[in-house]
Amino acid sequence: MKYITVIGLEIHAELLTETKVFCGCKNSFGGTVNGSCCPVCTGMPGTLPVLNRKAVELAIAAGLSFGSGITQRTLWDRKNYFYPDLAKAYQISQLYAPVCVGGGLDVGGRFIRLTRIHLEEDAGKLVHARGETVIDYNRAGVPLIEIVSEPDMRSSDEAAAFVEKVRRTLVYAGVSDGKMEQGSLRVDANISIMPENASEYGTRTEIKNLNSFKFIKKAIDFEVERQAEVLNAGERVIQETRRYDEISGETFSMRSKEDAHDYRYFPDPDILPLIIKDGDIERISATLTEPPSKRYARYTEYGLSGVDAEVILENKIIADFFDECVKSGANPQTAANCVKGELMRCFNAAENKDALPISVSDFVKALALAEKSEISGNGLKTAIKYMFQEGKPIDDVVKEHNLTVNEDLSVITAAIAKVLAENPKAVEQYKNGDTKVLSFFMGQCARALKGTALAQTVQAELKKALDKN
Amino acid sequence: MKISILRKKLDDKEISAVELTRLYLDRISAADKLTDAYLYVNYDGAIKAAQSAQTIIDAKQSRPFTGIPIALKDNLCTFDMPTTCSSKMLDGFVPPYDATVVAKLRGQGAVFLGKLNMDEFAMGASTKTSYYKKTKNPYDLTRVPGGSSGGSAAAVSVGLCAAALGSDTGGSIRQPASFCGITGHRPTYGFVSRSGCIAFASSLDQIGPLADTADDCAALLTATAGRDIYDQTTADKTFDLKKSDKGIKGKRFGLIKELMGKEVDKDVSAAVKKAAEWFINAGAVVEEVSLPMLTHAVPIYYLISSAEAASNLAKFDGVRYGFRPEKTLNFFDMISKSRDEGFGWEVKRRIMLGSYALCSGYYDDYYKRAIKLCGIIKSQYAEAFKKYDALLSPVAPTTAYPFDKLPDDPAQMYLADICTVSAALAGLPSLSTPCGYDKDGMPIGLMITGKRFDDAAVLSAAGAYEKEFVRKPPQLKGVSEMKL
Repeated sequence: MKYITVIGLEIHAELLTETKVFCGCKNSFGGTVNGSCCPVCTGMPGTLPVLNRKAVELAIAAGLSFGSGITQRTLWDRKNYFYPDLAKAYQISQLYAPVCVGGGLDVGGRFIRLTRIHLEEDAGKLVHARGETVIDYNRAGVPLIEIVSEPDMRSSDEAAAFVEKVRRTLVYAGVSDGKMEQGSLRVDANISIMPENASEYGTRTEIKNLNSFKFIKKAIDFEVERQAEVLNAGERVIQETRRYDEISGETFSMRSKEDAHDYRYFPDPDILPLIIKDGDIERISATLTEPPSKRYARYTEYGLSGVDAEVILENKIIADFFDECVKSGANPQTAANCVKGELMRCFNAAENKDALPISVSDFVKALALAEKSEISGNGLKTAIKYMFQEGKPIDDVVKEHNLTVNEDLSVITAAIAKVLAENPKAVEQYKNGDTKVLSFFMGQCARALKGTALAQTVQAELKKALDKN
Repeated sequence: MKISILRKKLDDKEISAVELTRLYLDRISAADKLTDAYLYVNYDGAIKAAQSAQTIIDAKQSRPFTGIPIALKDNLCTFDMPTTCSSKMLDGFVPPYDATVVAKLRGQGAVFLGKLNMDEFAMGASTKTSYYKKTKNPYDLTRVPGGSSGGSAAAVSVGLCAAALGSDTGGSIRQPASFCGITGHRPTYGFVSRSGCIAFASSLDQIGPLADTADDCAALLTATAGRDIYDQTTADKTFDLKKSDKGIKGKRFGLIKELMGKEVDKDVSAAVKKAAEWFINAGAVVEEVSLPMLTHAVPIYYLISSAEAASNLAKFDGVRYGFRPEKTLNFFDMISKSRDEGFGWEVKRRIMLGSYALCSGYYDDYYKRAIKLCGIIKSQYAEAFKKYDALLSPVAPTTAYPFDKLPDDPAQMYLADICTVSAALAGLPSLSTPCGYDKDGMPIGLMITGKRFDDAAVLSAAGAYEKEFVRKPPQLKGVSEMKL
């Protein structure tokens, strides 16, 4: 039988606040174990939570980015359960009046609706070592938003694309760093399948804590397959929470609905209801930068291909850099070529992924030098590489690496002659009508000339030399 | 001893802060064998604090509590003394911080004599649920001091401290103050920071003073009230009785009809009526007022407070601090054994009750309904306060009862909280001041309840009344009255 897959997601994103959500501890990844925690984080008796308004503002910013409604009077609730990493034995979350309601986003032409976005605190981390379990409370109290979607997705690809769109939107709104590899973004997937002609959804299972796009896809695919097998065997899918095992690629039952926790939610009496005024929303709205979907539209208006626009938008640092270049007068297509080419090559190889070590003005100046033929196309690539690696201004790089175009024909012809002499086989091929080797010669010449000659000059001289030969 | 008198004697150098502290410490050594009010006596720390207080006094920079010997209920965190909540769960626990109220008094140079016994985690009305000891009523050592701030009330009553801080969740300051014949004030919810007060029921807990007089209570409220960055529920308000005390002439008081019924002892209602007459004679208007919802306040209170308690006390799991048995199989075994052995019966009962009230399927019937009815209590108070400046009633249906008369049925025991829980549910300022003695010589308390943040109305009314009412201090064998 053919089944329709139905997927709803819960995306947990850590917020980019300076401090934690209910105390003054620093909100930072890593660091010494229990180096960033205080009596509030560790649930010492007598301590009380004090709400970090910045966290609420970021949650509102997320909501505005997804077109959600903002709740005027938002409330906090306690979710009670025992676990060693949960110091107070309750998590402060929002059940009854979440900060954002509704909204959604377009994924490949389909609108995926959001149910709600609520604010909550993260728990600590259990560290198992040498037969012992110790607890690191650095993450306890880190502000999280949980973005809950409607069951609107129909394939694992669509789910992954949705997560990527959400991730990107959050990063662009400055809400979260979206780093899945550091656990800043984690996904729970609710999955069910139903026969094609069915009018009601099937029984769903929930897979917890998926932390990469690869695993989101694999886990959903496995689970869809598993549920289909269950139904095909004439059995029923059991509503339960499952865990995805990254090594075997399978999902395993954690607990069924019958032994699900009763979290005994109730309003947290320590935190007063928060009234969000229209003025607050306007103020937060004004701080939001252009979302990636709008930037995409703008880039294609510049004449960039959809693929190029996507490549640039993948990383906000790169996209911001590109925008600054265009703002400084660079030709968008020229800038895009260099940004997605040499600049991204350097960035991807670099250790520091939080900033570019190269200034917009130097980059734009380099583009202009190439435009004016003062440096060659190859010289431009070399210049970007050295500016990136050495962190020096363009003028110094050009001088130190001799990148200025040298149109001394004798030097060029000498270099060409040397290349041809060293590659008699290729010359033979050219003579036999194989013009493809021309680009090979161009590359060899460029290397020999270290980018000091313009491509068109080299090409013209090369052709002359070959035809003479 | 009145704080204003002590202040004058200290500032006039009639007595040094160290001498005064020694006097109290000696009294504790001599008399607390009988009352068992203290869990921990801060002998060395108090003397050191007195010495530094004296240098402030010598520099003529004393503030209202510089050198004044104060004692603290054991649910108030102190970084230099154990804070146990009278529970095995926190045996020997020394918090790494002071409660905000403690820090404020310490900042003034107050001297902390020690920590006072209480019902375990403030759950109880007799101080009998303490894991450590039974505090006795100074008026009759065979009787309870009331609770949960029973140690605070007994210590003030015998003069084992100049004043004490307690906490009131459903009557835990007012009822023991009434049983021990002193003044105890529950401030408006939000007036005093709860930070560092180990929580029982967060929406109801409020720290307040127990002292000889309403004036002393007012002074302690002034010293401890105000906005605290560590407690979001505090209001940005300060308190100064002198600025708002306008006497009681022409003031209107309502005598709560529902709290003057047959359930109340004859001696108690007679004394309260007599106090009401005094108010009339002093130029005030006193009329009977009906707040029918108050008769349902006890179950409402027990549902809400137990629900919050179940959540607040879940953190005591043996993981990070507090009691943990030696041999456990795994985490869940460790947590259940820690809680099973660390908590007493009354605490467990409330946790069970509260967890039940919050369970899905029961939430709407119990917790949610209680919250709704609590709203009706508030609106009935609001209605009454349109007409009256403050409300009068007894503090408890009876005076202090003998230890062996404590009812076995907890529901029966809880009913005795009928007079005090409503003001707590509504977050109102409410105090107890002595207004008579029953046939056995046990003190009777008059409760005065005011509008939110109008603590001045109840404190000034009590202050005026106290100037006329003649108290009979407790007579403890071998313990003379405190004299300087």
